[in-house]
Amino acid sequence: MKAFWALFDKLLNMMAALAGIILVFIVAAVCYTIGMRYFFRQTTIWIIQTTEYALLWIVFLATTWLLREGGHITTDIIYSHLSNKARDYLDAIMFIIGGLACLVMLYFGITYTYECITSNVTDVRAVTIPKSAVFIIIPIGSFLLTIQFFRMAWQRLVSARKGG
Amino acid sequence: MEWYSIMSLLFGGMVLLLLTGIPIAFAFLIVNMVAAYFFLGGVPGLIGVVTGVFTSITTFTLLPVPFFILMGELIFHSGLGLDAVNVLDKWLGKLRGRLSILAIIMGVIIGALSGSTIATCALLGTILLPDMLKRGYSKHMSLGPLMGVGTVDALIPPNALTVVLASLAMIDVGQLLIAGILPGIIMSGLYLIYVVAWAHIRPHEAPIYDVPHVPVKEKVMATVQYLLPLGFIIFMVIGLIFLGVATPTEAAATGTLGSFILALLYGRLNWDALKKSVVGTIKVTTMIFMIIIVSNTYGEILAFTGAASGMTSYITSLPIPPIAIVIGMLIVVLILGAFMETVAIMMITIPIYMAVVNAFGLNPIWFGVLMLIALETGLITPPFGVTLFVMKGVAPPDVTMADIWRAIIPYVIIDILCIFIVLMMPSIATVVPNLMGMK
Amino acid sequence: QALAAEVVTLKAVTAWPKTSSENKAFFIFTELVEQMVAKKYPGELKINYIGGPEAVKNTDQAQAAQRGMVDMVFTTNAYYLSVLPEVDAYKLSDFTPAEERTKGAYKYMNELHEKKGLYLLGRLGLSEKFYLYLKKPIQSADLKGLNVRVSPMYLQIIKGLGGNPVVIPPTEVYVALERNVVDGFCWPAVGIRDWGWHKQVKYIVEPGFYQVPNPLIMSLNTWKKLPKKLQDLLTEAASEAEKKAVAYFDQLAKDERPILIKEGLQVINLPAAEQQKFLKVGSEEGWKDIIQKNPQTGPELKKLLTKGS
Ligand code: NA
Ligand code: NA
Repeated sequence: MKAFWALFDKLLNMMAALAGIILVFIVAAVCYTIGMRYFFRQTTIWIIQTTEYALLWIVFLATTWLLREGGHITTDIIYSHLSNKARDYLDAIMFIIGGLACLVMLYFGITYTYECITSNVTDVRAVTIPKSAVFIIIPIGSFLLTIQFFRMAWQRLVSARKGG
Repeated sequence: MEWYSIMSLLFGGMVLLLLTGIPIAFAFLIVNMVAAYFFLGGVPGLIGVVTGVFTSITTFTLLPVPFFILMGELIFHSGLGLDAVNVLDKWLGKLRGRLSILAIIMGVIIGALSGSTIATCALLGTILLPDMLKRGYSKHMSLGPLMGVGTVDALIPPNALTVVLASLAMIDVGQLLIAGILPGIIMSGLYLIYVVAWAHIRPHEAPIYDVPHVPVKEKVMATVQYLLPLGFIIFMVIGLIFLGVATPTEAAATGTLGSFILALLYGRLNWDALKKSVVGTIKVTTMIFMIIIVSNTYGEILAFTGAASGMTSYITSLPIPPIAIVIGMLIVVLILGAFMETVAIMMITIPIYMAVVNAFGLNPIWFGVLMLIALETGLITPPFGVTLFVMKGVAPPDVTMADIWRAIIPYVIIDILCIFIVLMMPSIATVVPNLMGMK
Repeated sequence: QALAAEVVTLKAVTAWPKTSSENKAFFIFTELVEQMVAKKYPGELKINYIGGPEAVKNTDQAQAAQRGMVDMVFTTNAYYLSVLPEVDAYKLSDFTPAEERTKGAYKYMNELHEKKGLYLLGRLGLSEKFYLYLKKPIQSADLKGLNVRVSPMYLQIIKGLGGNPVVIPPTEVYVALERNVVDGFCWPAVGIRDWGWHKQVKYIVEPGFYQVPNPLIMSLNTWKKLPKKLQDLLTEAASEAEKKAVAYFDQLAKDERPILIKEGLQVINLPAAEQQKFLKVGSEEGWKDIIQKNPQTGPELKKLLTKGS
């Protein structure tokens, strides 16, 4: 089990790193397209579209990693007044609900991707591409989010039992 | 179901979940799923929630957000930001609250001219906040101006929001863009007055730290070395827009390139600084975009169920005098601003509002300016508001949500004061376009 | 007194915000429906207009109809090409919607819709054309060296005429024109004043090209569940609305031109040969694109929608 989680964590890190590479790439790509247009009167129409897709990929590549790192912001008004044990239980419950919401997103993400593939749904911008090629990152990200939520819920339950 | 029942269910559910301490993005996600199932027709509604993720985020207009954050991170991690602040210290050694003043001036220049409130807040927060806290500025004096100044941006052209508003309301774009300038200047002036006054009333919140006496020659040298180069970055954003090289959205990328080049030239761009900047950007961007995705759906549910337009029609049909109706309409915008995206708010309210404005024979430019201020104020009104979340994302961990709420209140009040000023003196909105011979 | 029949309520969304001029065609339709229902089957059918893109994003609306989240969608072809790429062919049609009905183009297009779980009620298409608006004058059908803001709709013609297509959102077109990032853009005959762009361009290029299709579609499931008499009523209202919409927007386009000229725009009437070249390139590039994307159905669409040579 330990080996699995080590591998899982490594995967999350690698995905976040990929998000970083994509980020640097799109900065370069937009500068390139501006330069080409201004100096050479040449336009590359696929670049803007690519950067738009990149925004989605960055989010879903990095979101699970960010969840693990505690980087998604929370409000802590009542929460900070609870005892450790109560906090653990509350967290566990909320993480399970969060995991379930991500599970729903995973389920419909998969069915929609499948629909995109079987009925040739495309995304039509300057260039037409199969929508599934970009959309696929949503079920992938949701899958990892689901696992991470349940993992965190389990950790809280263990901690609550130890604490009590 | 009546609009107020839906409104209170959606709002109540949201508040309840937020109290449990689950990340805001996922609290929204859960509410969206439940609401989509019940209000958007079951499974098709749920599919819509998932497919909407794709549509809401793959849009060019969001591009400045990661770019500006990366720009800020590069300036900060390369130490260029700190150097620039040090130079200002040498010049303005004794001026109380100078970093807050600096924040407002920078915010007006960069934010106003490039036009993304969220991105401006993220940029200023990354560059200036760490220094401000390090120099003993209180959270009130540091967080507040950094967030507040972003709302000036819709009033000073160019701004995409203004263009959308004008086209929806069928009023003259050029006039509305110009009309915002004077109120924008008044607003930033009030921010400055507030900051200076507060720094004098509570000096410990913006401490004057010891700056050793520096000869003028050294000051000039330091300015040339560390302050002028930052001008290069500003040029890479604003200059390129004015020269017609890049659109306002694209200019965020050239600005990032500018900070990269500068860090490289100063020999400050080691692997560590680059890595920290990119990682920091990914963190904040992902957090913000998750919130944008889910709040987008939340807003759509409000629109689809008719809750938002129900509230809007209710207010506009109240049997009260025109000026009270106008105030009511602006209050609706402030309320919707708490949990809906700005353009969506306009699409819902403008058709109803403009009918009222035209029926009463009110000046549409004047009303447009009022709307712009109210829409921007919505972005910073607690408890929800994207700008507040962005600040939480870029701030150090010991800054709580409550700190942010407390810090923003004066700026919300100033914004509302501005609304009243324009409300009472319509000429503030119309004098500049009239002087320029428009109409 | 007959038993009160069940009330059918159809949830409708449009691709544009409520007050936009495009929606006028849809409201022509709903008014007709209202009148006909009141006359023939009082209280039996109601169209509940939910809103525009603030309720369902415009590129997701056709899919929402496929799944039955909404029953009726008034949109433009560009917003559901992802589901039904063939619908793009409408922009190249040589006919009015009414002519398309008699020539079988409507029937064929509807069959394609039905395969995707949609029902094509009609095409409230403005017989309005697209125009090229420019800051600099041109003498021929050659756009070499010009940066032109495009949408996928007319990307091919601009490329075919040698221009540089530039992709920027409508919200930034104003600033992009003002600061010379682009030298012009394409847009229908009506609507550029909504965005204030008439202040930033000097020329309108004749000929106008293509046309604005704007289909009115329904969820196929909903359609099938409707009683025959209501189906007939909707069809009648749609074909009536098609004619009225064409006339309405025709007039609108005619009224618009003098206003634009008064605002200082000049019309560039390209020489006849250049006009022909302009349109020929537009049609050829357009059909090339359609047939390449729809190798099976494309040629048939071309046959049904063009006057032929
Ligand atoms: Na601005
Ligand atoms: Na708010």
